[in-house]
Amino acid sequence: MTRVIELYGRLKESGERVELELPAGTTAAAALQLLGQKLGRGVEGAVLASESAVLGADEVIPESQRLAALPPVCGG
Amino acid sequence: MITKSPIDLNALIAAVAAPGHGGQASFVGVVRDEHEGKRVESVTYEAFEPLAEKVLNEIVAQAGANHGAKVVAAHRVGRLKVGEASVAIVAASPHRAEAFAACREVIEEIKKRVPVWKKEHYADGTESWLEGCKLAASH
Repeated sequence: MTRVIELYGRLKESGERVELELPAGTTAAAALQLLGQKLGRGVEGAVLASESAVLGADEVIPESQRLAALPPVCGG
Repeated sequence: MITKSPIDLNALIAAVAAPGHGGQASFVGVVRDEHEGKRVESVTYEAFEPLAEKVLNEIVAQAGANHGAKVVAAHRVGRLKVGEASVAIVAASPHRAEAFAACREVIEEIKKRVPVWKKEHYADGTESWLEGCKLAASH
């Protein structure tokens, strides 16, 4: 299914969001790899997150929440 | 809380005040005018807000439990000028040591765990996103 991935931090240099075709059962690591290919840039250090959690590499992408690609953070 | 409005430090102090709290400690992070030799004019902060709000609440609750303190914190988003507060934390406890410790714990955890980023805008017209800590999985 087509999912919207919101982009944050330095990844915003590639746009606010991107659409990816993610089959059911896609893991966060696989989705990040597809994201890097779509953007044509490295996404090292980035993680995928839902509205409620940062996803582990082997976690399956949840179907019903917003998804975001989050580069290393620097709040404060 | 994550807020687009200027941080009201007095409101945060009032939120933790209690007759049994003999110590209040606060930390305020402000926009600095220099970074690695470049003159900074302003900084844009952005957050993945639903997760940032959740994680910030968890950090505040954990620090309060760890130190027996009442804790509040606010992180600003949007474009801030030099000298404006980007983050503020206030902790109150019966004695000062716990309030200082809770305050310190919250700012250190914010820097590691809250999905917030900043883009610096320089006097020479250039700008740059900064990066710090890779987020760890929640589970």
